Amino acid sequence: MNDLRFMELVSNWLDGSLTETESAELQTVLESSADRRSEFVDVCGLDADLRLMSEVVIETPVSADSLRESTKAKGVSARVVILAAVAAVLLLAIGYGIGLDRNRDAEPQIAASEVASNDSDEVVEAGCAVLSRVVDAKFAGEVQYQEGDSLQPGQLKLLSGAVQIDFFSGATMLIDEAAEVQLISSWEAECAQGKVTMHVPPPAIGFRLTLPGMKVVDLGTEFAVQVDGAESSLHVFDGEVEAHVPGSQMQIIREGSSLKKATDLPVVAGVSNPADFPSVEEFERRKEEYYQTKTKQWRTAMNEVRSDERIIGCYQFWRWEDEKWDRLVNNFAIPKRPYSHGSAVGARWVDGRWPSKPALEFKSPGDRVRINLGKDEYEGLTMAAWLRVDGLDRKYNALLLSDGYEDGEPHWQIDQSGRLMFSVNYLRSPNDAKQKRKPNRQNQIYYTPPIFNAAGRRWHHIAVTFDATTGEAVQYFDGKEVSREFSEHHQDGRQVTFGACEIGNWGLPIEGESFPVRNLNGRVDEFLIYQEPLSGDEITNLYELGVPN
Amino acid sequence: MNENSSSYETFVRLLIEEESAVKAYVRRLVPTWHDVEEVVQQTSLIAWKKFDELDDINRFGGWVMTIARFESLKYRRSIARSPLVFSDKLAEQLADSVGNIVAGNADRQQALEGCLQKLDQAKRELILKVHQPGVTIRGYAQQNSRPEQAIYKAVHRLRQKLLMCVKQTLADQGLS
Repeated sequence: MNDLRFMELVSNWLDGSLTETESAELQTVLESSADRRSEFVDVCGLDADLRLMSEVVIETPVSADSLRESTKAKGVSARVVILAAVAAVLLLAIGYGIGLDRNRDAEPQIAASEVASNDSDEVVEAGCAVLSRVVDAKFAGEVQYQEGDSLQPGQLKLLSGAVQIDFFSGATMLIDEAAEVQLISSWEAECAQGKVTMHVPPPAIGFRLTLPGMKVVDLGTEFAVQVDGAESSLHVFDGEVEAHVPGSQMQIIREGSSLKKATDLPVVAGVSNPADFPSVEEFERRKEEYYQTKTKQWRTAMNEVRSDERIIGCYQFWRWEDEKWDRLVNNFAIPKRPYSHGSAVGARWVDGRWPSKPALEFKSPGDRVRINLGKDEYEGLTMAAWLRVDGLDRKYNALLLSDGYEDGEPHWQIDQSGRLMFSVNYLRSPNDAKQKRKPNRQNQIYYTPPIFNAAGRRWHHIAVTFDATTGEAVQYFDGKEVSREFSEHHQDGRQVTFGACEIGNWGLPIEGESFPVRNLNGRVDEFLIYQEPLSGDEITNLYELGVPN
Repeated sequence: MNENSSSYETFVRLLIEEESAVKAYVRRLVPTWHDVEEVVQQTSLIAWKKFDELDDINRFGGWVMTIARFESLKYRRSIARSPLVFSDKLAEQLADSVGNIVAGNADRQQALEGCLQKLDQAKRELILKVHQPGVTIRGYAQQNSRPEQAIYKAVHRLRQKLLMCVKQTLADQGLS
């Protein structure tokens, strides 16, 4: 029996459409050949895998309830609870990869880590690579990626600049200037246009790169490809690769050689020149140059921000390299307020929004920056910060909290579900006090919807403005308004004040109160405080002048 | 109670790890996917009832597969009158067959996912749709007003293509 007939019989068997005669035919073959039995077993395995995957595709939304319901509806005999739970978890486990079907626009999406809402609390991610370096890059489409973002399988189109992609397999891809690549998996990619350099260390040997008219399988090496319209070329700088060109035999291309293929023309061999392709050295040089310019531009732009007459705290997290005591966090506001400089406790100096822009990293329960803005009272406030959240470990994760949370003092934090949470504490008015209600405090609390998910190494700009005369608080995320609210507890004539505060922690609560741990897990590299609510346009400007790329 | 609920959790975790392997195994022994689900459900129940008899949970995989084998052969006899049921001899042979693809679940499924993504959108949809619960090729063809034979052929070809691709992928990774 030939392969086709055999496959046909097996297919019919799987589909339940095998006739009695066919069944006998299939049995005879299977009984007499161990090879056919092995093939049969493989196809059955494939069928089972496909069925499990198909179940995932149609079951949306993914929840145990919907699964139980749909199972019942199909009239399958009532299932044990165990299986429903098992299946619900399986959906989460197998759901990735097929995601491409649902997001078939195929723009690679940031793999948003999601916390499963039901049986499993495991965070899941659906990426195949990480964007590990980015220099002045512009991407086609709406999503502008940042360093540290996870990339899902799909198309990545670079309009300008340069990026490095680290595949989960260990292979590294450098792309320079306009290029179009398709990420297929941790082990495979396609280059449809542009220049790409690949570095494939031993763990990633076997990585495949497809070009129009050519497929390259790496044998542990450094090589580059260039695709220009219908012409593809391959250049090997180190080690060797397999080149598969349809219609001709597989060739091994060794160090220093190259191969060109244009549509309808035979393959041409040549000599490769590494200088024509993206290299890590060139990459680093450009990156340094770019960020030096970036830093200069940013510092110039900040001069205007510093001298705004409404600013009272301008913490730029600028580190003095030759300073032995590097705990000082200067307030750059003009005119100078000498007693308002901050002091870093525990927090370490690290890279900020871009290399050469310092930031403080908050990790341990003790890490904080202490500041004191005095007891002046204001009609409102604005706080605006650049930060990177690495995890929402605490019930409340501190941004800026006043020590005692006394009358008129603000607290700004992120709660565990990723919502920004701004509040001002007011003592109850004498009228309330007569009613002898306890405790004698009245919080005005304002929440945004959940906005943080701590995925990747993304920097974000957040801001809150509060008008003490109207009780309105507006919060912003990356320059866009995300919540606007009046508090029901608001009473006119109450002002705000800061006093002694901490950025990234809350260490000195009022006496008699318990002492919860609220340190931020992440980095801060700019914190601005104004004595008035800024307008939405002004917040957008602050965001735009500080965007890292 | 506590001890019981924690052993339940262990059991569910182990079962999740093995379920796709169990289904793939049972698939070769019973004629329809509905039958596979029946057998796997029965297997899970029996495994849970006997779970405290298993002294080494590292052997869970082989243990549950033995139950699945027994349950499949037993189930086969209950539907023995169907023309599709294979002879006892063949069923035993199949139950002991290893197959060419011996990679673990995760590797095999990852390879398959990669291969599915290489298909164009229409083909990927077709192959996934005809494997959805309750869907047969005949039903699918009727619903989409397409000639049944054409769909059969397309599905045969896609199965072959995917199988080749999975084998190749695993071989490339040194896993098969």
